[in-house]
Amino acid sequence: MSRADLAPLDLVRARAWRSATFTTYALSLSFVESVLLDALVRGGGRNLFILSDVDGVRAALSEQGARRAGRDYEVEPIKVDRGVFHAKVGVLAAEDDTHLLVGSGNLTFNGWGGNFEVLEHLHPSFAGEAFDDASRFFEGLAQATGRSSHEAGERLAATALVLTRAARGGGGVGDIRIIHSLEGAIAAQIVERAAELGGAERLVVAAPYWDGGGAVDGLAGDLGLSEVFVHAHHETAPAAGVANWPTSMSRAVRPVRIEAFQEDEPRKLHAKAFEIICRRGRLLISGSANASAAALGGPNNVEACVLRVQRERARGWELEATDPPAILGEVAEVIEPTERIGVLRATLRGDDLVGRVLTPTLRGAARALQAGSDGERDLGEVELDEAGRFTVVAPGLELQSLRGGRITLRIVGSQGEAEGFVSVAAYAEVSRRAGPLAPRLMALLAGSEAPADVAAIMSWLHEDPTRLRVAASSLAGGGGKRSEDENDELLVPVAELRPVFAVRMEGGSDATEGGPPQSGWARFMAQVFAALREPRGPVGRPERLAEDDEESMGGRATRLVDAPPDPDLERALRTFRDLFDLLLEPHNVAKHGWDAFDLAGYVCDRLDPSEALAASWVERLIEPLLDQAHDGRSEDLASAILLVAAHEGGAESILRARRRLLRLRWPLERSAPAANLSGFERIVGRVLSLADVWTAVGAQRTTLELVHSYLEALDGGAGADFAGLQAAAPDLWPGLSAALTSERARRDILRCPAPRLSCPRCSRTLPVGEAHRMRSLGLARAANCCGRILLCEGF
Amino acid sequence: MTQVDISALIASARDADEPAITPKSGVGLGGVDPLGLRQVNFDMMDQVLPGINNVGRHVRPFVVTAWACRRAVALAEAADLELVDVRDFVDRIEVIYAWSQFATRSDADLPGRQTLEKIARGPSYTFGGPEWQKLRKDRRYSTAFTAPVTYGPAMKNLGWVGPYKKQPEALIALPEVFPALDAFEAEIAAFLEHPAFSTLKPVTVHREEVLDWAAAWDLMEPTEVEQRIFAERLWGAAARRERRDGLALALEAARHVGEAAPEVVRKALCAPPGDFVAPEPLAHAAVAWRRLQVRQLFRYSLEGVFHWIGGKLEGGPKTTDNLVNAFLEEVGKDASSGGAWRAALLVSGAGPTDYMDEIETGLWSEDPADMARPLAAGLVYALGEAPANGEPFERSDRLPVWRARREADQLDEQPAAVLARRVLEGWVLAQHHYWSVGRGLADARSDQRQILRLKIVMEEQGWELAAGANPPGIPYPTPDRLVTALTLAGECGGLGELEETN
Repeated sequence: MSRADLAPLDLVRARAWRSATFTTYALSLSFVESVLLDALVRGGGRNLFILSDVDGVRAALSEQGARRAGRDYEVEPIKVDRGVFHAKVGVLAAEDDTHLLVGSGNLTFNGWGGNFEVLEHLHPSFAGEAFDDASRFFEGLAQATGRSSHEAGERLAATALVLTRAARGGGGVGDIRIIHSLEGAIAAQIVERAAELGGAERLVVAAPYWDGGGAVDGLAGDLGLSEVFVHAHHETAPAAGVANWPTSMSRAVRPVRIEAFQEDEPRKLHAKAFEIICRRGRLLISGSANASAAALGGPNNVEACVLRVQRERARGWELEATDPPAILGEVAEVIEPTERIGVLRATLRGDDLVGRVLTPTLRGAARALQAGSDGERDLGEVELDEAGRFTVVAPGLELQSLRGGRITLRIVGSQGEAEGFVSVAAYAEVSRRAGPLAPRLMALLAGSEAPADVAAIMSWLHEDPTRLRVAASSLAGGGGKRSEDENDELLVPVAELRPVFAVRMEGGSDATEGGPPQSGWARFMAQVFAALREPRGPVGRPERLAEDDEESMGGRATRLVDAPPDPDLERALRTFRDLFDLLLEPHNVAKHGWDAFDLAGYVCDRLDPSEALAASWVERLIEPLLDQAHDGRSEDLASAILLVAAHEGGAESILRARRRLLRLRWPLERSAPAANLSGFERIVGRVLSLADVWTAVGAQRTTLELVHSYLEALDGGAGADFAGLQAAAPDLWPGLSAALTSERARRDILRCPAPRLSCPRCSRTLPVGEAHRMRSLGLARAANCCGRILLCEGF
Repeated sequence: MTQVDISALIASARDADEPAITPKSGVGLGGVDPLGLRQVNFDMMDQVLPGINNVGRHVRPFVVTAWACRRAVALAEAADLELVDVRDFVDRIEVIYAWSQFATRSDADLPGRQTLEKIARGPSYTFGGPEWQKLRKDRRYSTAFTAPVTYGPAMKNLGWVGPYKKQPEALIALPEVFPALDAFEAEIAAFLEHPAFSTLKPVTVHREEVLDWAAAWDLMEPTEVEQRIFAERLWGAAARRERRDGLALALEAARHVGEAAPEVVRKALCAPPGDFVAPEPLAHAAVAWRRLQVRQLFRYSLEGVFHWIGGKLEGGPKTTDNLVNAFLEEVGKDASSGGAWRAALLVSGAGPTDYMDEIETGLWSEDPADMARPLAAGLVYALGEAPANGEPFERSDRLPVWRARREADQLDEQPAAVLARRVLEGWVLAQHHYWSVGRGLADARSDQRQILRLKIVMEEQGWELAAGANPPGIPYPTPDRLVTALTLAGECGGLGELEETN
């Protein structure tokens, strides 16, 4: 006998799964988000979908920190009449490969390593029939005929299809199958298989939960056995009010220890496994089914197990006689139940919230309340139909979700109330369009991006800067139709067509139902770019070094300090610099100058570039943007101008700031511009306060202004600051001074409406030095022709 | 992204004739900022004392390093070298300097005492060869003066050195500080001819030589010029305005209380209930300082509650209701309504630092029942002092104190259990989950080492300690740079007659 040593997380992170589907009874979102989703992301996978019993979802709702449900992954509740949904099945699907995991562990820390659990890893190459069985299981679930209620039909049908395709051409000789309670009682299926192998000779059962023994008593009777060997583990995983041992069987119970279930550091038993030694072989059943009537009989729980049929007379488990464990009718510590609230599910498409209450039975008028991370909001009255379905308009909810908030919905009616997660349809579209970049964009939106995310996003924008415009245009980026690859997923041979493929239920993805195809993507990207302008502070700057040291510090790290250079950070900064240069190229600046401004502010805020680098970015942005349309962002630019002057200090910087503000036509007589440039301001230090700069700017005059005042005086206006003009152009001053009093000298002054580089009288190009003076100061001498003084009238 | 050999997994599954047993989780545990609230303190410190940290507390290391940078370039030019590893020489000077101070001053709180212990014990050391290169590598991001965790950031922020454009790892002394470097060089002129200071080639230095040099560049004896230049850059005309005003305010407060002990100055700065009134031009700095301490108290209280919850879970899983009931019972105040509970917890005449002192006493008390009341009191006080609106650095995912106040106010009329539930489940456990998962997923997207930061998780039976995780440790107030600022100001003569009390 050999047993695979399988860490399921290794499989989850083994490749870029296109979809990952898991079913469970109990659900810990702490586990899902910190372990399962983590592993999936590490492998580059996406589309995590979880089908959980309403009990699991109800418990998960108390995890208020789990803000990713409905966004980074989907949680769908399922309610089973006369039982619970108990199957623990995982389907990992890539374009060319599919894997199945079937076991006893729930999606909890205990279920994936904390408890003693069994798990089967199946692949079509050796278990093709099992994939067909699993397909029928999901197909049965999708149809939800009578026994169960859920709104996940389309996803479950798609999973069934994936499994069917995987089974095609698969290997195996039918000795590994999946048995489930949707096709009859588990016990009956076991008995049937045992008969095929000539009848049973020995039954060994390992299970944490028993119903007193009635179910196994019946199974043993049907198998024709007079005794049952029961594995006595040192301790079982607790479950309120459930027995851990068969105490009332009519047949003999032989307590044994299964050798294969022994560990050096024993864990609590949660594994469920049955071994039947037959005359012509051995059956081995493992999975979700406990030793109870609810699991083995039917139709009660929904269970799924792997059945191994070993047709040669194989050796069975090695058993050692032992004593029965301490009998527990209930767990050692009773956890008092909290108030029983029902469970619903809902999907948000644009402003429309469509959902269904699964439990309790609610009909008629009710009130809808939306709970977010910052409180509860009344969405108004809703009307529930006979199936508990409802629709409510929730303006602004999608935006709230996009910004990272946890969204749950509560429906309160006269018959009771229910709560559930809201799934946001826009994310399905985002995931489809952005592919592997989607988690990074979502992280940016939520403010939890890492430098590696920024590097990837900057690189993505550098590849095609028009992506920066998608939010404004709602047209560019991502592609608006399904890829060929995705269409291919819907192709299925006629021979394999089953009713399941016709299923189209409510709750389907945005990709197949209503709404303009690009609206969700455009709204998402608009929020991404809005997020770039929000002050958020550095990306997890100080932690890593100290964090890695924590264990060596006895679990009590007391120091939070700056970390050594992060290669991802360096890469992000480098990538941004390339993008920044690209956006400010002359052919791009009109379209992307303000994008460069926002991105640079974001990078300053989040990535802590050096002060010198940040200051150089601000300085480089100002001149190109002065020449562009400001789109209502004059105050941003004016504030940036002041910031540069405050950073540099000195009279020349003040003067330059005034010159730029005049070019911007910023009203200098009004109060100082006060745009929020916190990203730049956080990095770019100031030797002068912005208020001081503003005061100094008001007191200064540019040469152009001095020239203007001079010309006014020349026309008979009030006196001007001639000393300033004399200092700015001492060589021209004698001529300028004479013109104030002499009509003849005044003829040597030539006025230009705007700066020009040639003499307006002689049309000769000005010498280089004079041309420069004209451009920078607005005055010059026509030194290589008539020698007259040129003064620019316009600012 | 991480790749696992999937064909090996398939082969293993194919060969198995039994179900696998799920192994125990192999994920490493870690995390130092369980609620993700500490960064806010850093951002707020930048509002009052930017550019310095809690480690770079002496003037001389700034001067020594900048001088070494300048000297290395001069030596390279004199030797007509085109390429030079400036940092090798700078590292050498740093080590010799630290060695000399460790050997002569027991109070030399320079980085690297342990790292350099072997050198300090030996008769000589050769600055060259593999051993030296290994030491350089080991020190680079840990105990080097230029390391990001020691003096490095402040050296750049205060304008002593800057990166060489073409090779940012190489540092260049900035001309503005040359007068200080000249004054320092005059102090050590007598031994500049030694190869350790006059050549870029490998050199051996003997212990007796180091002992001879120690007094000339003593850690606590900067020259007047060094003091003047440093003061100008720390809180003078060349300083960032926030630091200039922040430190000026701290010095005003020190003068007001007549001493410069950081804990006394900190308390005075938090006025009221103290009677220190900030001069009008520094009023904005006073507001920022008080805000920092209130936020500090808020974080400290919540991390304390997290620690308290961890203690409760050592006895097994608990539901939120179990925890809420236990918390209210231990706080022991009128719990008829959230408003009454909050009012009963406030202590007349106490300020933020008083509440923090109470929390510290409670956290370290031998009786665990002493813990909950000061935590609740500190939290309630911080809520009462919360600003009406958010600050730019108060990101929504870092639980802004103003938002917490708004939520608490809405629960004033409900039983205190509702507020306590919000605190425990909504502010502490949810924040822990959200922050820990967010950091973990960021690591995952960056293909960094996987660390499970969750210490408390929700499982079938309720909240429980994550398997293998230590219970949350006792939190500490985050150092607020005040000690650094006052120490540096003192070394520059900024404390005047108060220096004795620092």
